[in-house]
Amino acid sequence: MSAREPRSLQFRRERMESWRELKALVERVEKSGPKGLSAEEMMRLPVLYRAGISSLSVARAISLDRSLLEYLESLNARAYFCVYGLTESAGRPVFDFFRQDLPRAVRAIRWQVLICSLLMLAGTVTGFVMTNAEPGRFRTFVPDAMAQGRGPFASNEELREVLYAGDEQGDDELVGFSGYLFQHNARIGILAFALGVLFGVPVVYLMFTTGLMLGAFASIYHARDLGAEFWGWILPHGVTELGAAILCAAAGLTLGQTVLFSGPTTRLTALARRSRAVSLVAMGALGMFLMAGLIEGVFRQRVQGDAVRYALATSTLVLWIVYFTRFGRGR
Amino acid sequence: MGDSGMVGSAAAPGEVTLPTPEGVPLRFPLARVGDRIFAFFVDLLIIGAAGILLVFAVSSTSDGFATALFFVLFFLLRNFYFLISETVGRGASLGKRWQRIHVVDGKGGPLDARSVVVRNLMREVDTFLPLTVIPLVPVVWPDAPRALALLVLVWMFAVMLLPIFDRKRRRLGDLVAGTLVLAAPERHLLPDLADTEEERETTYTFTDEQLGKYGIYELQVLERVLRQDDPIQGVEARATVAEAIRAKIAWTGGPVHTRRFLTDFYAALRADLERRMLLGDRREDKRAAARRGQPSPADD
Repeated sequence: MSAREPRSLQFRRERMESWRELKALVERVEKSGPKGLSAEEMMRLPVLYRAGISSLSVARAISLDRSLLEYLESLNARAYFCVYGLTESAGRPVFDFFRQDLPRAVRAIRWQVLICSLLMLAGTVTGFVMTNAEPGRFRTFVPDAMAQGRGPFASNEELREVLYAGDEQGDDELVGFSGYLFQHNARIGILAFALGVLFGVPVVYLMFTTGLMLGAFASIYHARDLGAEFWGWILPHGVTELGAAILCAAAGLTLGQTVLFSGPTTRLTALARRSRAVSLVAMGALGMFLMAGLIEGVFRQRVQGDAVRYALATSTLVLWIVYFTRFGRGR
Repeated sequence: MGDSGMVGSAAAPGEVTLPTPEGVPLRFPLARVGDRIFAFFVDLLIIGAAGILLVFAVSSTSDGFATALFFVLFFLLRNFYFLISETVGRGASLGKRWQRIHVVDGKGGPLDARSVVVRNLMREVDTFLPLTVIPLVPVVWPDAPRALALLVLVWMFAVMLLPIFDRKRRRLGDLVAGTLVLAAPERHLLPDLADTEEERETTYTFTDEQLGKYGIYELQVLERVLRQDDPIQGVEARATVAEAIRAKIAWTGGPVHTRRFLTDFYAALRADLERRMLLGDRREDKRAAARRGQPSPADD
């Protein structure tokens, strides 16, 4: 006849006090953070935690009391969070992220960025040349909603109006247009990224057509000798916005090409490895879109002088190039 | 649950096993997707309230400027909210604290701030972007060819619903940052069922042969039945189980007080099974018991 007590019961009686103590400390930390503990208690916590872990280990081996095991698992899990919760403050890492991680991620896909930039450039040149030769082509390259009445047949005055309209004059209409432009480019960005998974073909198409549109616009303004003014109008925010679109496209292209050419590793592993750089770039691009929107909203209609506009455009261009090529180097 | 004796055994679905720096793997329940969504909504509410204040603050300036400024400030607001609250809250924003879930490093070590930064900034790509694009596809791109619009929708959904498909319930931000979101439910230390302190005149005793009919699985079922709080269901369940046990072990001791009988049987069975487990004989259930035949009565 066996009428002994289970061994685990003895074990539990021995250790119960320290578990209770651990639980009390853990609850205090959970409620008011580490500062809720005195200095002595702070030193006690890791000791109790390790005792708790060891209890768990023993209990797993010798006890069949399920509620005890669940209790110990839960207690140790909570203690784990308390002991191994965040130790650094957030300030420095945010700074480091923008200073290093983001530029490095962009450099990691620099060939794709280059390709997308060249594609856009090629599209722009093509659009420009073809619209010059045959102004009617403008209609093909630029969707109506975007054109908003501008086109080969708009008068000089109408065109000029857009470039230099100030606050008093049709502010709402222009806000609408700038909003549309912003939307359009943001959309391009999203699409390029999303569709990049389809082996990059749509990305190529998108970059080129955006360039076509740009070139077509440039062409009609150029035909009226308003070329320089046109670029002065577009570029201050356009540098940032087009840059963001290019980054998105490059990210999408990278995804697509990883799916196609994964080499010796499996597709999923390759994707997992690339996804970090790609995601960071996509995130950076989003931030750039926002900045472009801000520049657009603030500067474009307020700042009228061509010289200032060009200065702004050049400085943003230089800034981005320096940021992405030089930051985060070394170490 | 029958693998509680094996350290480092494979985690059940909805759980992960993390190696702790102490060398003892801990099994954690993953936060349920519903809980994460709920926590996110709570956080959104807080951000939304601040956003409304922002709208008022910004609307005093002129139109175009105001819109652009609002978007940028709102972007900053929501990102900084998550960043700060998850850092200050040791891996848990306010919404997460409500739901008792935390962010933790996927490899089991300390959570570093960089991961928090990355996973929160990534929320723009894996949550806010799909959330704004999906309802607005026709607005964002009115003249889209059907197929393309559909494709974008599919992709956005795929990104947003990733936690449902991933075994570790990670969203894209978690994947990139290498973090996991775990739950930490509260459990109380219930009294040990085998701990009968009061002296009783009749304690039921059992032979090794009788105890040998059952295994660990039955023991834990019995534990569940004994801990059953519900007065009506509990009484019924206990009566049924007591009946079954008496039949199985060929009880000859006459009528019994149900609860005491079950408690004593539980204590004796657990003592016996634990003793055997220490010696390496782990009897999983009654079928295993039957296969082994009668255990020898004079065991130690």
